[in-house]
Amino acid sequence: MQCPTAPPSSKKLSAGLQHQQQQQPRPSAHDFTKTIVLASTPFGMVPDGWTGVADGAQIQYPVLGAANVGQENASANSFENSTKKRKAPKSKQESRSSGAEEEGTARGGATSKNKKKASGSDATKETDYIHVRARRGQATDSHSLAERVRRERISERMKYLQELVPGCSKIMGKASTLDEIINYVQSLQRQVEFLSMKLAAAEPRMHLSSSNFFDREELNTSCNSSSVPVMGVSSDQLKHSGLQLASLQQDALASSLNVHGCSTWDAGLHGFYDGEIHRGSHLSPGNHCKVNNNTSIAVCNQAETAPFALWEVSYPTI
Amino acid sequence: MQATKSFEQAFLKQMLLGIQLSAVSHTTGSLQERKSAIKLSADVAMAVARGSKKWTRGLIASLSKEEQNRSFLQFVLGKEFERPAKICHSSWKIPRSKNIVRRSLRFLSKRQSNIRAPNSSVLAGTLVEKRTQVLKRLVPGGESMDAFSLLDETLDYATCLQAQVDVMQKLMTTLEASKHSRRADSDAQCPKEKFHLLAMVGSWYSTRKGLRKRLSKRPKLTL
Repeated sequence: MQCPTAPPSSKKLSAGLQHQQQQQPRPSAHDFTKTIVLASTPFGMVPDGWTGVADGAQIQYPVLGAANVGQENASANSFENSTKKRKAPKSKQESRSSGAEEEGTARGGATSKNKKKASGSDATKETDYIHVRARRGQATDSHSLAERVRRERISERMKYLQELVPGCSKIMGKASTLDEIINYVQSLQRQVEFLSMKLAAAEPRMHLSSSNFFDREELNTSCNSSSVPVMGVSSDQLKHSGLQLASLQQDALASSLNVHGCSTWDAGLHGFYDGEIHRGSHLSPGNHCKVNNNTSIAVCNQAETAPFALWEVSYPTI
Repeated sequence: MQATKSFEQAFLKQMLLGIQLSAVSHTTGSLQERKSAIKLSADVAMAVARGSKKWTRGLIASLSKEEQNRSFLQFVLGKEFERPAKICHSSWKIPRSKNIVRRSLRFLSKRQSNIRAPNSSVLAGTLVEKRTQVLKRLVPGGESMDAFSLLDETLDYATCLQAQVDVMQKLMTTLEASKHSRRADSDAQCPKEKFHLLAMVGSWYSTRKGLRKRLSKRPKLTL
């Protein structure tokens, strides 16, 4: 068996991969390797069996130094791997895939657990490819491999769903899991309906304002027990409980019914339509300001003029 | 998978604002009207708090189909409202070429005519198929999704529903507790859920950096 000299260990794996690629057409008696290359858009979720670490939207694999193609061929003897190679992948993907392949072969042995998955397919000219290896004793034509990838992805999602739905972990089989999921979603939807009915019944005036929630005593207890600066309170209350929002309170009062440019709706919109996950921390304080004399509570918010002309109806006098 | 705290905070805020908004028109409505108004604002709040996902867009689209919701939605979403209504229709099927579908059906029927006894795998397949159909109807905007993204969206949707139910329950208990406390006119007991609610909203405010600056400067919204 020919063992080509491994290139000197360098950070650049492309050299190693080129080496590997040179090898591919060489008819070696023990050359079982064929690489399947599928288009990829990494998801950010690490499927089972991955040895790498998922980092956000990128999948990184611990790089084992230079491609030890000789080793690969050597270990290829011990286990019969079959992969298919279709196209020359991009260099970035190459390094990634070769890294994982090396790992796989390094740990190889009789059972190869390494497999790379590609998610999605991209038919445009600018395609990324990831090498995929078929498992031992399985069909290697492109259709079944792609099918298997798809099935793996689906089963991975099913696993997450099983974790989510309580009591679903013991259930085997796609159909029953789906059944449980359906029941769960339906029950959640019914719960929402029921709760909204209860809320409507409990609050006939529909004035779910902060004055309903915040009382002097509660604020004190909550403020003293933790450093949570809840909505501003009157100045003596502030001194009493030592909130940091004292100055905030003054400003807020001064600008309480002023118009400011922000609104929660806009904040929501930007996140909503820009395809980003909308987090509460991204919201700017687009709120309304309300001071209740009786309980000396102020909820400080900002408001936009036009729509919030309605709000002034419900404002008590400051 | 747990919904994050910031999601719950955002959801609560949006919902309270939405309820206040609809309170103006619904103060003297029947129970049904009030309940649907609350539900509407809860759904919109959930969709807005989550961001841009297939199911959120489908939800907004399905909500906007009712005439009565339109004004509320327009108010909440502003100028962006028109855009999704055009783009996303829940009845939008995945476009399939008729010829290909016909050919594949013919091929499949030929195959199946050879197999007399029902295959277990075929049975299992149809069971899953049926359930997938049901799931597609449940998840908003699910009709136009393929199996994989359907599962993804279900996962997301289920977490958000859970968070929604949680927040609404806390809201309920807080409301009732505050009512009782006001009636009893005594020191309010601070039940745990209520405290969580307070802490949630409060901590949201405490994480605002430069809050004072924003208040005084009339900032333009940047995201």
